[in-house]
Amino acid sequence: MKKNYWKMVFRTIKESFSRFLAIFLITALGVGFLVGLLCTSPDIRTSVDGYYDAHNLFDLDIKGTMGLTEADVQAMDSRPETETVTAVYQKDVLADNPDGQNQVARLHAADYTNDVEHMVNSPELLEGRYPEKAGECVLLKTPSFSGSFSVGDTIALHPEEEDEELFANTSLEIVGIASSPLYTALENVTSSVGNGIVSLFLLVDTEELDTDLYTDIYVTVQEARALHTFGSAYDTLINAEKDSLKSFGKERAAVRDQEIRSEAEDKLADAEQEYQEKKADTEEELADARKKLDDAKKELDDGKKEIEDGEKEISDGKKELKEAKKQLDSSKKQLDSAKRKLDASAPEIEKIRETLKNKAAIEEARTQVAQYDNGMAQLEAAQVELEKGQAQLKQSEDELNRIKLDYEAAKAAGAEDEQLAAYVRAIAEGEAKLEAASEQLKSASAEIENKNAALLASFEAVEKARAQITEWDKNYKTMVSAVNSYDKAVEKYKKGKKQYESGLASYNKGLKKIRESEEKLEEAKQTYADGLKEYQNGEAEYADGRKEADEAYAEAEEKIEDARQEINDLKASEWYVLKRNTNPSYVSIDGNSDKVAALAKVFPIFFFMVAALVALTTMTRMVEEERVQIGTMKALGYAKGAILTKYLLYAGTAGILGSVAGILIGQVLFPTVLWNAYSMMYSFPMVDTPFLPKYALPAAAAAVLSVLAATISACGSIVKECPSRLMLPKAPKAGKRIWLEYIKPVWSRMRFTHKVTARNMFRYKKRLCMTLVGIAGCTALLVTGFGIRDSISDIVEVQYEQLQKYGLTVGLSEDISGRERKEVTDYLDTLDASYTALHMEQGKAIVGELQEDVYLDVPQDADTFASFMTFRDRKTQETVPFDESSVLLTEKLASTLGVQPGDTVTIENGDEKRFAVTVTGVVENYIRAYVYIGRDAYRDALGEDADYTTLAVLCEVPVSEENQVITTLHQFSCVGSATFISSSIQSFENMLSKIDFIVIVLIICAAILAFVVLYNLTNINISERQREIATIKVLGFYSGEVDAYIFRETFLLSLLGAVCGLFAGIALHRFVVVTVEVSNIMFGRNIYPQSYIYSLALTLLFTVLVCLALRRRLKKINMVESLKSLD
Amino acid sequence: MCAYIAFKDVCKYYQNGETKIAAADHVCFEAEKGELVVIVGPSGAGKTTVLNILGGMDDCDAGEIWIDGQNIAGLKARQMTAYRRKDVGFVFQFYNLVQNLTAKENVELASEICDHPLPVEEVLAQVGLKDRMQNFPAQLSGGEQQRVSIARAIAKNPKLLLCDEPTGALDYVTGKQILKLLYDTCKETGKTVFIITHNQAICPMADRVIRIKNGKVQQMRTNPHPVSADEIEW
Repeated sequence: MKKNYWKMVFRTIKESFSRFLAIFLITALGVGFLVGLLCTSPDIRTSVDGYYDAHNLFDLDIKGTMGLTEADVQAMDSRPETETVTAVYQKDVLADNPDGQNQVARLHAADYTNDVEHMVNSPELLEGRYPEKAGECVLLKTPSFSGSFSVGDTIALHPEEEDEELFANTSLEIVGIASSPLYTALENVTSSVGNGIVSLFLLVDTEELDTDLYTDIYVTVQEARALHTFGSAYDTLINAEKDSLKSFGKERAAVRDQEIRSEAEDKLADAEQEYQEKKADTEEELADARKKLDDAKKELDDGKKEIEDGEKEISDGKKELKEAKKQLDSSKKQLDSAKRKLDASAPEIEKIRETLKNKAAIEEARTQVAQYDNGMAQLEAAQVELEKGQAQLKQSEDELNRIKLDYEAAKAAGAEDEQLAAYVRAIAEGEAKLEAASEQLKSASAEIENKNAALLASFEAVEKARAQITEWDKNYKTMVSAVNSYDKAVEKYKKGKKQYESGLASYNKGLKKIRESEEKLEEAKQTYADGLKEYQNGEAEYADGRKEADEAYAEAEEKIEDARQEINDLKASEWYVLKRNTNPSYVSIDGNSDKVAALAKVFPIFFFMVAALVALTTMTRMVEEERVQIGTMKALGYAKGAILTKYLLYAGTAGILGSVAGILIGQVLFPTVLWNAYSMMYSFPMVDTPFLPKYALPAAAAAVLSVLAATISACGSIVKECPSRLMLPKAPKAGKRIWLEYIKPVWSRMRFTHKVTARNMFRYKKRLCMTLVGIAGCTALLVTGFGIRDSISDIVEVQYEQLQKYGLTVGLSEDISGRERKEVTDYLDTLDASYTALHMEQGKAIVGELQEDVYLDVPQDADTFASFMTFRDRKTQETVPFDESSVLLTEKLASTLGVQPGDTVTIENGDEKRFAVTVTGVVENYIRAYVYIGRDAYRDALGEDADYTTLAVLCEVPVSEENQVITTLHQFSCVGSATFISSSIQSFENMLSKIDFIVIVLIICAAILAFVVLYNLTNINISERQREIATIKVLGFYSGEVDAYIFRETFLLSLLGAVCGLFAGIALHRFVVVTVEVSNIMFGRNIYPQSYIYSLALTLLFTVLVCLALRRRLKKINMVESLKSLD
Repeated sequence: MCAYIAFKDVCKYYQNGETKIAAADHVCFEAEKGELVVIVGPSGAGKTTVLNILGGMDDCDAGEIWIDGQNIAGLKARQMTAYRRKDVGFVFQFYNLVQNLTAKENVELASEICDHPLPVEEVLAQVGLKDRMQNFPAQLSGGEQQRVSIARAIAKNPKLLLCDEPTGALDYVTGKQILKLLYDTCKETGKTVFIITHNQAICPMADRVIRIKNGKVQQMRTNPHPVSADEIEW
C-alpha cells in the first residue's frame, strides 16, 4: 500500500477516534468475554492439577474398617505401582479452641519431623514449625476456618472416656500454621463426634496418639503425577490400580482380622480379672465402713440412755425440791406463827422470871419445915421403933414360953439330955434378953416424951412457913413450867429456824445442782444429735457407695458382656479404597469449572452480534460522511477494492486491537474474577492464566470476521456507486410518515418535538436495531445476573421452607433395639418435635443408558410423611398424591431421565439390587434427586421390606441451640448421624455471596455494553444532525430543550430496548440457570419482580450517564454550522 | 434617542495563531423599524460576522448592539437564546428544514417555542404554500423549501427577520420570487428585514443599503425610492 494511503487511514482513525474506540471496545468486550469464559475452566483445572502435584495429593486413600497396621503400610509401599505412601492416624475429638468455643477437631498424627515435602498430602507451612513431640500441633488453615487464634495459643481436647488413654496430652500448643491439599474446599467435613462438623484440623506428632494403628494410608500412584487429574487418562490409571487393590486388600484384611480377635480376647480376659479384683477391693472397703458405722450406732445408743437417766434424775430432783420447798414453806409458816406467839408471851415470862428470883427465901422456909417434919418424922419413927420393940419383946416372951413348953414336952417325951440341956440354955438366954429389951424400952419412951414437947413449941411458925411453901410450890411449878416451856419454845423456834435455814440452803443448793445437771444434759443432747447426724450421713454415704459400687459392677459386667458379644460379633474387616473424587474440593472444582465452560456458550454470541451491529452502524455513518472523498478517490482512479480496503483496515484494526485487548484482559480477568468468587470456597493459590491460543485465536478470528463482514455490508453499496453521483451530496433521507401517524388520536396529541423523535427513531432502522439489541442485551444481562441470585435464594427458601418441612434428619444404626429407639424418641419428645420413620439410602435411577445418583426415600407411613413434605407440581402448584403404592420422582431427575408419570424406571438400591417401578408422579424439588417410594411399592418391587432407620424430625429448635441438640443426639450410641438443614442453608448462603460477585461482573459488562452502544448511537446521531441541532439552536431552543430534542430518542430507545431486554432476560436467565445447575440441584426458575425493577433502573441509569457525557458535545455545536453549505 | 436597530462600534476579533484578525472592525450602522435592509459585501468581508452578531448567534468583543431599546451586547447565553427565540426570525441560505417534519410541522417547530406566534396555516398561506403544508421537505422544490423557511421565521412574529443569502441556493426566477416575498412581508407586516448577500443586484429594492468590506462599514445609504423585486435583475 502506498504510504499516503496508510496516512489517510490513520488520520481517519484519529479524526473519528470515538467511533474507532466503539468498535474496539465492543470487540474487546466480546472477545474478552469469550476467551475469559473459555479459559477459566482449563485455567482452574490446570492450576488445581499443578497444586495437587506440588503437594502430592493422594491418588488413593485406603481405609480399613479395623484400622491399618505398619505391616499394611509396608505391603503397600512395596507394591511396584506405588510411588509414595504416607500413613496417618486420624482422630476426631471435641476440643475447646483458644477462643473458647467447643468444636470438633480432627487430628492427623504422622511424623512431620522430616521430609514433609515428600509426604503424600504434603502440607505447606505458613508460619511456625511442625510438631516435634506430644502436646504440639499445627493448625491447618482451611477455607472454613474462622478463628482468630495463632501460633502460641493452646487447644484443649476433651476426649470421650473410652478414648482418654489414646491421647498423650489433652492440651495442644499451636506451634505452626499450615495449609493442606486435603482441605481446600469450603464443604463441611462431617464427623460422628459432637455437632458432626469438623471445625479444626490439626497436625500432630505420632507421639500424641498412643496407637500402633493407622486410619488411612494415602498413596500416590506411579506415573499419575504426569497426568492431568481431571483427565480421562488419569481416571483410567487410578481405576486400574483401585481394582487391583481389591484383592490385595482382602488378603491384608484377613491378616488384620486374626490379630484383632486374639487381641480382643486378651483384653477381655484382662478386663474380667481387673473387674474381679476391683470388686473385691470395693467390697472390703464397704465392709470396713459398715463396721465403723455400727460402732458409732452403739455409742450413740448408750449416750441416749444416759441422757434419759439424767432426765429422770432431774425430774425426780425437781419433784423432791418441790416437796422440800413445800415443807420449807409450811415450816416457815409455823416458825412465823411460833415467833409471833413467843413475842406475845415474852413480857409475862419476864414477870414470872422476876418472881422466881424469891426462891432463896422459900428454900429457907422449906429447910425450917423440913427440920420440923424431920423432927416429927424422927419422933414418929422412934415411937414406931418403940412399939416395934414392945411387939418384939412380947414376941420374944411368947417364943420363950413356947421353948419352955417345947422343953417340958421334950422332958415329958423322954428327950435326950443334950437336947434338954440346949433347951435349958436357950431358956436362960431368952430370959436374959427379955430383961435387957424391957430396960431399953423404958429409956426410949422417956426420950420420946422430951422431943415431943420441943416440937410442939415450933409448931405455929412451921405451919405458916408450910402455907407459904405450899403457895409457892403450887405456883412455882406453873411458873417454872411456863418459863421452861417458853424457853423450850424459844429454843425450839431457834432450832426450827436454824433447821429451816439449813433446809433452804440445801434446797437452793439442790436447785443449783439441778440446773447444772440440766445444762449438762443439754450438752449431752447436742453431742448426741451431732453424733446422730454424723451417723446418718455416714449411713447415706454408705448407701451411696453401695449403690455406686453396684452400678459400677453392673456396668462393668455389661461392658464385659458387650466385649464378649463384640468378640462373638466380630466381622471380617475390609479395605476401602477411595479416589480423589471423595475429596470435596476435587469434586466441586470439577463441577464448577464445567459450569463456567457452559456459560461460555451463550454470552459471547450475543456480544459478537452487538459488535457486528456496532461496526455496521459506525461504518455506515463513516462512508456516508466520506461519500465525497470516496467519489474523489474513485475519480482519481482508485479501485473499488482499494477503497473498501480502507474501511476494512479501519474496522479491522479496531477489531484486531480490540481482540488483542480482549484476550489480554479477558484471559486474566475472568479466570481471576471467577476464581476469586470461588476462592471463598477454596484455599488454592492464585490461578495461573496462561495464553491459550486454542481458545484465544478462534475467538479473535470470529470477532474480527464479524466486524469485517459488517463493514463490507455497510460499504458495499456506496463503493459500487459511480463517482459523479458520489460527488454530489447525498440527498438527505426523506422524511416519511410512520405508522404511528395513522393512529390519529395518539399522533394528534403528541407535541411535534415528540413527533420528531418518533419519526427519527424509525428513520434509521439499523440504529434502532443496534440500540434495541444492545440495550436489550444490557437489560437481559442484568436480569440474568439478578435472576441467578433469585434462583439460588429461591432454592433455599422453597426447598427448606415449603417443600421439605422437616429440619432435622437423624440416622439410626441398622441394628437398633426398641429400647434404644425409645430413648431417642423420648429425647425428641422433650424438644416438642414430631417425627416419622423412613428408609433412606443412596442408589441410582436408570432409564436405558441414562443413570443418575438418587436418594431413595421409603416412608414407613406415607400419610404421615406427606405432612412432613409438600409433594406438588411446580407449575400448577397442585398437590401430587402420595400413598403406599406411589413412586414419585423429583422434577430435575424426571426431566434428565426423560420420564413421565406412567413410565417405568429401574432403581438400583444401596445393595446394588435392581428393581423396576412405575412412576406415579413428578414433584417440585430443587436440591438433590429423590425417588420417593411407598412401602408397598418398595416391597412389591424388591420382595422384602425396608428397615426404617432414619427419622425425619419436625421441630422448632433455634439455630443457636442446634449444636446442643446434635451433640446430645450423638451421645446415643445408636445415632449414626444427625443433621440440621440449616447447615445446608448455610452452605447455600455462601454460594449466594459468591454469586453476588458474578452479578457484579455481569453488571459491569452490561454497563460497558450499554455505554458502547448508546454512546456510539448518540454520537452518530449528533454528528449526523449537527446542522439540525445548530438550526434549532438558532431558532432559540434553550439548551435543555436541545438536549431533550436529541436525548429523548436515546431514552425512548433505551426504554424500549430495556423492556425487550426484560423478556430476553427471562429467556437468557432460564438458559443460564439450566446450563449452570449441576445434576443434583435444580435452581429456581423464578425472577423476583424487584430484579426486573433493578435491571430497568440500572439500564436507565446507564442511559442517563451516557446522555450526561454527551451533553458537552451538544453544547459545543456551533450555530454557525447552520449557515454552512451542504457538502 | 437611538434608531430601532443600531450597531455602535461593534468589533469582533478572531485569533489566528500570532495574528489577530478583526472580522468586524468598529462596525456602525442603524436601521429603522419596517425597513428592508440589505447588507452587501464580497465573500469574507465580514457580513456573516455581522449577521451572527445581529442574530444573537455570536457575541461581539466590543461595542453596543441596540435592538428596540435593548442592548444585546454582553447578554448571557440564556438571555441570548431568549432574544433569538422572541425577536429574531432566521432565513437560511440552505433552508435548514428538518427533513423529518412536514412543512407545517417545520413552521410549528418555531412557533411552538415563542410567546406570540402567528397562526401557522395563515403564515403558510401567506407564503403561498397553502396546499403543500403536509409535504415533507424532500417533496418540495428549493423555492418552496425557502418559503417554508421564511414562513418559519415569520410565524415567530419576530422584531426582525434575518435572511442569509436567501437566494443563494435558488435559481433566478425562484430567487426573485423569494425576494418579492421578503419585500412584501416587510411592507405588509412592518417588520424589519435584513438581507445579507453578496449580490449587488438586490440593493435597489432595499430601503437601506449597508456595504461592508474588510470588516468595516464602507457605506450606508438609504434608498428613498426602492424598486420592486420584480424589477431587479442579475
